[in-house]
Amino acid sequence: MKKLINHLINFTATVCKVLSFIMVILLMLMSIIMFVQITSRVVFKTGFAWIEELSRYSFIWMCFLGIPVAFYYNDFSRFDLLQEKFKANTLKTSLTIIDIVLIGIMVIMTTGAIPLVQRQMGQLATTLPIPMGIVYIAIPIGGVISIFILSLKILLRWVENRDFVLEEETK
Amino acid sequence: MILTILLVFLFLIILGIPVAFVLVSTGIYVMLAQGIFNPVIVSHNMYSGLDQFAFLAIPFFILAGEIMGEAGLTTRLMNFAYSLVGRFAGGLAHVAVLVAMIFAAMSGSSVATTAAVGALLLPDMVKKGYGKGFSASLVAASGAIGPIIPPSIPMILYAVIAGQSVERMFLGGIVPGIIYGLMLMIYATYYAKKNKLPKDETKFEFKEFGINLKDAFLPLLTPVIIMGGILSGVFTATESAVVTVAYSLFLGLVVYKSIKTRDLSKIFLKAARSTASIMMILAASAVLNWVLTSQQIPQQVANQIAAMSNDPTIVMLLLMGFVLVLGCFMDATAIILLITPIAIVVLNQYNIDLAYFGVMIVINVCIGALTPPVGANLFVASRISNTSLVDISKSVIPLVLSAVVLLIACVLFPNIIMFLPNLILT
Repeated sequence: MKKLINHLINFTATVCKVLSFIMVILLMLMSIIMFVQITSRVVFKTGFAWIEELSRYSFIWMCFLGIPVAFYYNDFSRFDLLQEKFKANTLKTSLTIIDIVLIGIMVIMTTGAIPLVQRQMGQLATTLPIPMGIVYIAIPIGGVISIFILSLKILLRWVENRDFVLEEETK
Repeated sequence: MILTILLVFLFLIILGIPVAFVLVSTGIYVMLAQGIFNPVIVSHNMYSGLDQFAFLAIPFFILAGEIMGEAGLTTRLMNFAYSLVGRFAGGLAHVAVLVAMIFAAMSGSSVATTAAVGALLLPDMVKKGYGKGFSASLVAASGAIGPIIPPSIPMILYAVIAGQSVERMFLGGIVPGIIYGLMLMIYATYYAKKNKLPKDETKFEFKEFGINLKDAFLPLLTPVIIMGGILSGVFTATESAVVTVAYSLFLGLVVYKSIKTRDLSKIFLKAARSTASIMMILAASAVLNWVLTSQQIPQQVANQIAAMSNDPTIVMLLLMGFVLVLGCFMDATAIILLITPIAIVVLNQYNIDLAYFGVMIVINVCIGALTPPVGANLFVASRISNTSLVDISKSVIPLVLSAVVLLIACVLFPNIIMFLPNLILT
């Protein structure tokens, strides 16, 4: 059991590293192409229509892939003053309730996105030669990984009494 | 119905669910109660809530702030500010406010401003005997100037939702931002005199000032580039964020050589992570807004406010009071996204200028970042200075009150905000 959990922890850490890497690449891509856009407009008085679309879609991908990463690092802001006063077991229970609510929302988000992806696969983007489904698919990908991470968080909390990221590593 | 929604909302907040997901769950609750629940509505609105080109300004301004810190541009600004106001009673406090005001003209986020100023000055302030609570709360309040003085992420958000000109709002924020900075400086002087804080006795030397000015000159050009570029129409507000990123990278990598290429991925990742957690709030409020609109809640709220008074000033005060209360529990982005669609309906009935209201609500949510129990700036300042939230919350009261005075003054004298935009943009 202990070994399995360690494998899961390492696996999740790797998943988050990969997601973080993709987020960095997307943000760099957005910065570069938008800078090219502005420069070319100011210098050559002409722009590229596809840049606006590509940066918007990269941004959407970055945001949805960022959801599981934010769950992993506890990045989402929330009101936790009440919980600071809880005893260890009450705290564990209340955090678990929260995680279950979050899993529920992620399930709804993922199931709602699947028909969208299917519908949009036949639809081409305005300027880019890609189906819009490629953009929408970021939603279920982010959702499924989030469900996985949140479930592991509950497991870790009750079996190992810990979170993925320890308090001092978060920032 | 409105009351039930508010209660569900508050219950979920107190339960400790992250704000973004409180918004989605409240939306889902209303859908279930009205029998219109469909997961596709949730996902589709989350997607379209993010699919706005103007929102790209958010990651870029956050990124620019990170780069400025890493590249030591903020340190140069601090030395410059020190040579200007460091000799006053409570010198470091004045430096903190002045750096925040300059930084505010380069960055659009209050958390980024608080973090930048706090990291630079808080440890030193505490070491020099400035009270911990005072120092931390002053830095938090200085950070609130960040989005009031342009550029400003919340102003861009509002401008997109309300269909207003970002330029007008940006210009409108300048004067109130400077006034609040001056109010903080006056308070710092009073505090320094009362507590006999140590004074820097070295004389003002023109040569040293010159050196500091030269060191800070290129970073100080950033606000000129941003506002100049936007007002002359060379680039849009969203694009100005990219230009700021490029310029600060240029300064850090090429001119000062203070960041290395291998640090870049770390800087970009920090910015990407903060962006993702902010954008989740945007996506989430799109869901709730869709639900509220489908139930005609904005219209109902507008009618109820209209039943209370005919006087636009009273209506403004009511709205501002409501936003202040929300600000105690919610963060800036969520409030703007939630209130704007409702407010527009009300404001149009009273012929209140939407850009003016936009600046007001931005000032208001910046105060919200200072009000306990949930105040982003307080959290940041308390973490940097190791001060308890209770301590900061006590010391921040006079600073919040002075901001509220400023807010009321802007309701009574709208020209504090509108004078500059009306003068420049005719």
